[in-house]
Amino acid sequence: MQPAIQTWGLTKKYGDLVAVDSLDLEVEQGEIYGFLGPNGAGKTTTLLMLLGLTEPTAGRLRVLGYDPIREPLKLKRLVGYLPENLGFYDDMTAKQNLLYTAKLNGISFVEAERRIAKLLDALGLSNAADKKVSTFSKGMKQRLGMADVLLKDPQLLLLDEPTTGIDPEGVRQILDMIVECRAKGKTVLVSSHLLYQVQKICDRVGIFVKGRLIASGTIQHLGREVIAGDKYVIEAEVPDATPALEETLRGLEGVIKVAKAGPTLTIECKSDIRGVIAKVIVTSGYTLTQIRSHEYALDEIYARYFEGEPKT
Amino acid sequence: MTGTLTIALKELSDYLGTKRFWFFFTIIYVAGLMAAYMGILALVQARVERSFLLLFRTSTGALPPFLFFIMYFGPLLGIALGFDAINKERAKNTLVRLLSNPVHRDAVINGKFLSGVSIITIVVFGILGIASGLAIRVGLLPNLDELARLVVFAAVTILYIAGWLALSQLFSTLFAHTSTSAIASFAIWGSSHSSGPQSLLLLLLISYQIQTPWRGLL
Repeated sequence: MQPAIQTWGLTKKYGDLVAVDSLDLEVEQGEIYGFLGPNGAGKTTTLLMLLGLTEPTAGRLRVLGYDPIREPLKLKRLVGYLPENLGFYDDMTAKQNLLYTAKLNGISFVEAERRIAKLLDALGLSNAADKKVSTFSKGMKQRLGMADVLLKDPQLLLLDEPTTGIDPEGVRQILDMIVECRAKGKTVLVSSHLLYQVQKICDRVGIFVKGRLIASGTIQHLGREVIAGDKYVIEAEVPDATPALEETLRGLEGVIKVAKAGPTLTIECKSDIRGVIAKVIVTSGYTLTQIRSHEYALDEIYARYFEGEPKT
Repeated sequence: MTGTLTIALKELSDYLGTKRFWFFFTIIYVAGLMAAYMGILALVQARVERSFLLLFRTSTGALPPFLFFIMYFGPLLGIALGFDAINKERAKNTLVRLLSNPVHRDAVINGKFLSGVSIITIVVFGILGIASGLAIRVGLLPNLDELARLVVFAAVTILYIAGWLALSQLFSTLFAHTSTSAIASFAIWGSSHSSGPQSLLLLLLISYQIQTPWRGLL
């Protein structure tokens, strides 16, 4: 099966500024790919190129088997794009806005009415269907944006910061919607700088800084291989830990480093020696309330790339 | 092509719903009607030639004649319809969303132009119809020849105003701010009137006898 998105050396320059620098990106069909990076990293420019709204300076790309530059209309029928700065026609109602989109996509009126009712219901906007969009909150507009994107039943969704600036309930609804899309076999590319939210739903992530993709893979892969350099990190909760215990642990074979933060001891080791550590803590007369191997959080990986060492 | 039509229809209903449009519509109709009334008054008073078409370029002198109003206010209508066509969509962030649907960029521009031209056509035929009605009411009946000339006049007037629409729409594509494109359009409109432009000559050419008192103005 060919990838949904494939780019080779994709480059976009605005004068002297290199917005996207020889990007090689591959997104498989049916996966949720998190496109992460700080503001101004070139995420939006990349999405616009994938949709054929901006022409690349150099490089090649293929989206759902089409060349976005040569066959933009065929592609736009299959791709739903949610822009970061989302705008609707303020003096039209939510439903009128969606009907306009449906018309532009050649969806019949009857079919459009059916789909709109279903989408607005799923996004909790049924009551606001006949209200003017000018009365909508930011969160409602964002949800309406999701409805607008899903209306054409796209194979590929390009979502630019879909959860920025909205309340937790709205975020939950949008994330649920994205996961549901994957269940239906759609491919989703989510660009975001909000790591925690993306982490929960993404199959793979790519970290994008200053126009370059500096890492790509699953979060666990990025954490272990890229950051920790194949080390295991074990976290043990010992409420009555003393410096003496830390010393004892440091003396164990395979332990590289021990650090204490509150009741938690963070132990870096060469292999998974949780059993040995637990035994040592308990036999030394301390209370062990919990021991676990560390789950890598995206913000650590992220912090590593932007601020040097992760702060854990 | 379907995209162009969809956009044109949506824009048309937008225009008809805005206060701006009704404001200009009223001004142009009132001014045009007054001018037509003056023309008729002048023709009724004058005992010489009582030709139907003359009412559009004759006046008692209190107000400029009908033709002058069309020349002067027509461009304003064109500019009002077009100066924010594209940059307003950009400012409201609706342009990217619009273009992410399967439509070409020129479908957006053409669709908006098409709806503007429809509005211009409605206005021009409306006002000429009302003025003609007034004339017929006082007994100035057009013959077939005059009727044909009137239709040609209407067509050229629509072209003339559509030219201004195209110009302001071009500015709305080039400039990011609606105020900039409005000022640029008005600047060209203003300077074109003081420097004797070709656009006015075009209208003069079709008004086949140039013998009116306002000739000196140009």
